[in-house]
Parts: sequence; C-alpha cells; structure tokens
Amino acid sequence: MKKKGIISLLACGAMAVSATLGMTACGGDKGGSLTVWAASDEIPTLTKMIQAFKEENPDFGLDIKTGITGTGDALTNISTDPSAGADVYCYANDQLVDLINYQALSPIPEATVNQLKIDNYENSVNAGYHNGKYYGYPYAADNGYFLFYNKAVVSDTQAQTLEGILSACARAGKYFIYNMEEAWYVGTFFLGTGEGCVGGTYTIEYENTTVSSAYTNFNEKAAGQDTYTIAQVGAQAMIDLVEDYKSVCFMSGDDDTIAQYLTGDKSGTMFGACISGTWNAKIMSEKLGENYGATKLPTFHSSLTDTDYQMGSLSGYKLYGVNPNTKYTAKAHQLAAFLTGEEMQELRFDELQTGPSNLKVAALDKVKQDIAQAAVAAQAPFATLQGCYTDSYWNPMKQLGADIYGAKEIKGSITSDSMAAKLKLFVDNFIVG
Amino acid sequence: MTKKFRSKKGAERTANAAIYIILTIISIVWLLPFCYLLIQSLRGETGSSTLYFWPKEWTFNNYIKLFTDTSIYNFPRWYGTTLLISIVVTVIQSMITLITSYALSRLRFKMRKPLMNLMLVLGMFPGFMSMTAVYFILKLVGLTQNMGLVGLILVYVASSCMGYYISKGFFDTIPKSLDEAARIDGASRQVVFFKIILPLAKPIIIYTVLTAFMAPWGEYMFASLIANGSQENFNVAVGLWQMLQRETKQQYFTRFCAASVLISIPITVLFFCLQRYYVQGVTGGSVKG
Repeated sequence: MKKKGIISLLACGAMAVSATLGMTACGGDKGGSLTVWAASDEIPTLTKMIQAFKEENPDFGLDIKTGITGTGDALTNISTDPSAGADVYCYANDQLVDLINYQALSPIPEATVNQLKIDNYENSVNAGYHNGKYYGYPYAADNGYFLFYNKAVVSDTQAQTLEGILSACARAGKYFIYNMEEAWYVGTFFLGTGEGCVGGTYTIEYENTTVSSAYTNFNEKAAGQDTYTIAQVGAQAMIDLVEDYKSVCFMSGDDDTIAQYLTGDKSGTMFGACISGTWNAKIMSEKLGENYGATKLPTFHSSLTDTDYQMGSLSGYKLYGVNPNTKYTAKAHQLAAFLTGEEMQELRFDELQTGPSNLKVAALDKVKQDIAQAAVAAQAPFATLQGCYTDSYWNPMKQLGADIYGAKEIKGSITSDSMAAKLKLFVDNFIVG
Repeated sequence: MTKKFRSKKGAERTANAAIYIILTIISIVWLLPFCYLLIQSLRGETGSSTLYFWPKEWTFNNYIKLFTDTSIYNFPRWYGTTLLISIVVTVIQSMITLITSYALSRLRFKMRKPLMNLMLVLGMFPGFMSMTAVYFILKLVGLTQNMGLVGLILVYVASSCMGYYISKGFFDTIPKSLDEAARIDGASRQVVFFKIILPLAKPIIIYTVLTAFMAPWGEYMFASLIANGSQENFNVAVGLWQMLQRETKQQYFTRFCAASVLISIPITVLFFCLQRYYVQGVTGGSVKG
C-alpha cells in the first residue's frame, strides 16, 4: 500500500514537472520573437542586418533571433516539422514546390510583389512563383556555374572555346576539371536556348504541388540542324571530350578535385580551368592570385554537325521566405523584405560576395568588377532557370554522364543504332505524363 | 630428429611471417584514416583536399583558431555542450543499466522472464525508426528547441535499461552466497547492491560507463533533429557539419579535421586508462551470459 502511494506520487510529480516545463517552453518559445535562419558563415552578417533593422524600426516590438540553416538544409529542416521551423528562412528556388507542399511558405502581398519586380531581376522574383502566387524575396542570383581559368595557362581568347582551353591545358600539362558525373553539370551540353546554344529545354507542369507532366525537347533537332537531335549533339560532344582528352588534360571531379588540382604538387598548381560556381571564387583567387580568371562557359565544336555551340547552364536564385506557422505574419514579411532590400544586398555582397538580385546593387561598379560576378552575368543569357526538377531529370542525366565518362570504346558510336536506342531511352526516361 | 625439428621451426616461422604481414596490412588499413585526419589537421594550405599526403606547410593554427576564432563556429561551446550531455547521460544511464541488471540477476518475480524477452525484442527495432515520433512527443511536452538539451538527454537515456544483457551476465558470475550472507547479517537489497556487489563489479561498471559515454558523444541524427537550427543547442557533430557545406568546406576543412582530432581525445584517454577493466568486463559477462 505504502509502495503504491510512493509510486503514484512520483508519477504525479513527473507529470507536473513535465507539464510546467512544457508550458514554460512553449511560452518562452514564441513569446514575442521571430527567428531567422541563415547559413553558418552568414550569421555575423545577418546579425548586422538585424541590428540595422532594429535601428530603422525602433517600434518593431519583437525580439529577433538567429538560427543556423543554410539554403542547402532548409528543406530537410523544415520538412520534419514546419511549425518548429524559423519564421523567416532562406531557400534555393528549386525547393519551392516541396516547401509549398509542406505548407511552409506564406505568399507575399501583391503590392510588395510589384515593388520586388521593379527592384530585382524579374526572373529572380518569378523563381518564387507557383500557381498564381509569389512566395519569396530574392537576394542572390549567383547560384549557377561558369568557367574559372588559370590565366597562366589559358589565355582570355582561348577561354572562349572548349577546344582552346583543352589544347592550352594539354600543352601546359595542366587540367580542365568538369564534373561529368553530376547531373547538375551534365545539362551544360544540352540545355540553353540563348544565341548559339544547342537548344535543349526541360519543362515541368504541376497540378497543385504534384508533377503532372515533364517534357524535354532533347529528341528534337538541334538548333539550325535537320539531321541530328539535341541529345545526339550533346552526347557526341561529351564523348569527344572523354575520348580525346581524358587522362590527357581532362578530369571529371567535384569541389575536392578542384581543390586538389588548384593546390597541385611540388611544382605548383596543376589547374588549367574548371566549371564551377561562386562558392569556389575565394579559393580560386587565393591559389591563383593574379592569374585568377573567370568568364562565361566556352563554346564547343560539334564533330557531328561541324558547328560551334555555346554551352548552357542551370542557374537558380536564393530567396527568403516567410513560414505561415509564424504568429506575426505581417512583421515576418516586413523583416524578410528588409533583409533582401537594396542596402542589405550590398552589405551581403561586401561581406559574403553574394551575387545580388537587386538591379541597383548589380549595377554597382564593385559588383561588375568582381571577377566571379561578372562571369555569372556573362553566362546569364545562356542559363536555364532551374525549376523544381525531380529525379526523373537528375537520374538519367547522371547515368548518361557516368556512362560516357566510364566507357572505354565509344568513339564514333553515337551514329550507331545501339547508341541511338540508348539515347532515346535516356530521353524517354525524363518525360513524364 | 634435429632436421625434422628445424623444418618444423622453419614452417612455423613462415606461418608467423605470413600472419604478421597480414596483420600489418590490416593495421595500416585501419590506422590510415586516423593518420590522415591528424595530418590534415596540421596542414597549413587551405582547400578541402590535396593530391599529396604530407602537407607542404605544417601548422597548429587550425587548432588555435578553433578556440580563438569563435565568431562563426563556436567550437568550445559545442564541445562543452556535448561533454555536459555525455556526462549527464553517462551517470544516469550507468545507474539505470546496473540497477536493472542487478534486479534481473538476483530478484525473482513473476514478470521477470517476459520482461527480459520484451526488452530483447524491443531492443531489436532500430532507434531511428521512431525518431519522428519521439520528436513529436518531445515537442508535445516542450522538450525541443529551448529545452532541447533536456530532451536530448532524455532520448539518450530513455532505453538504457535495455542494455542489461552484459552486466546481468557479469552479476550472474558473482556468487549468490555473498548476497545471502549479507542478507542474513541484516543488509537490505540496496545495501547489498551498493556495498557488496558494486565493489566486486568494477570491470562491468567501467564497461557500462564507457559505452554510455560514447553513444551521445558522436551522435548526429537526434541532435540535429532536436536542435533544428538553434545554435545554442548544437552538439559537436551538428556544429561541425556546418563546416562541410559547399560554401564553407574549402576554407574550413582543415579546421574540421583538427576538431575531429580533439573530439577523439576524451574517448581515447578513457580507453587507455580503463582498457584492462574493459576486456575483463566484456569477457566476464560472457562466461555465464
């Protein structure tokens, strides 16, 4: 009897304790504060922005906290529990539909949208558009890839063509690094409707947040061609690259490989050129010094059609979004708009070298003169806005790249029936609906 | 006779040589990652990777900066948090495990066998399957975010009684007559456990403490889920992951390696000090497990 009494007493105590803990936690949690997420290296800058915001809005009345979650982890951290996510957070535009699906984005008031369109690249605002509503305040327009090169190896003229780069690298015994085994980069030989591009497109259509159809024109004829398809031209260019230059001066590899060849061996850097993005700009300028160069992607010569094509690319934007689970929707929108405004984008460029989406900031001399940002701008006409592509795009692309890079005897096989069948299968794989 | 003997010795020698060669290869394969980590942590050149093994430039800066340059990555704080969690978990979990094992070894009650079987079956479910459920339960009682550390400790400790097998096996090897003698002299169960059994069970205590310490020390999944972006609640693993993002990797990789070396220190020290007990603990338990 006595024992039972003690047990029930303990149980009651435990329940009471957890209940009070729960209440205090809930209370302290949402009581008059907003949380903003940013990547770890952006936190000092974000803190400055918040300071500036408080000075500008002394009557804001809410405490603003920071948390660490960059655009890369945003979807993962939000999807577990949107209601526990930050009130204002950053994401890459290819996560848009998934985030809407998790009901983790609150639409932007219409008046603000119009202002955003005036202030920013129109594409960057459209990157946050889905089903008639806008969901993001753009702040970065440099989420794509372009060409980095070592001026000691590749001259500015040579950097304009893939053949120029490769022959310069071969002569100097340095390397051209391009990640052929990653789907994101494989599209470079197919995508792009800009002047001189092969002409490949990929379109996804949605019914609410489910993919209803995905379509590609890779099986259609390449630009200015009536014999060969986009898929054939692109695949042949990849095959030529591998066949002629692999183990001579061409390497497929990721950021680690780039770092390896940049640092080089005893005789110094082994880096000739690579296809990568602004996140590698710092290490490039550090290792190459005054030989650091960057520009738009080169053209490649197709041995099938005997034509030069401009390499395309995928590019994306980074946006700040407001979590609809927030208690203070209007204030969260106010904060998000401030964090992505003109002054803050300039601060972001000064401290983090983020490529601005704001037109005025992008037009500043210091931005234009930044080597990597100038390259982003030069590549922009040939870039395809990366939507919320699914695995039906990524998987076949990755497979094709890996197959070609790993193949032994492929020269001339592109015109054979077996290769045509393979390519058709490859294209069929990412047409849905 | 002598000839035969010699040839046997020769054969033995060849066999030994072969065994040693194999062992050397295995140990090199096993040690290489640790050496690599250590060497990378002393590399002066930036960048996430190099083509060569030995750095061109040796430096301790990566270690120093972990503690001085804390504006972005507050390593000392993460380290402290993780240490705190691990120590609290170790104390609570060792206590619960040992008490459970003792009870299951000495006491005879109706549900003993079914309970043991139940714990055995429950222990077979991988913990991460229930991760989301556990998260929402914790959220319900307010043990995420601000109270994240408490929640995390609770998660780590929650199933500790299920790790009873090995220590129960060890307790089984301690003669029951000791308990009986003490009981006759008027000792309660509690006194028997703390005054008689525990002093005899040093190896198994150390084994329990070590395993209890190691689990939360390097844990990432629950820690990341519960911290959910709030840097006050980051443990070392979640914090260090931030250094390996696309934007930060090139700059911070060597510092990440230095941090990894520092993380391995407490465990290494514990192991070196307690190694002989550790082996006794595991094998002692297996005799009559």
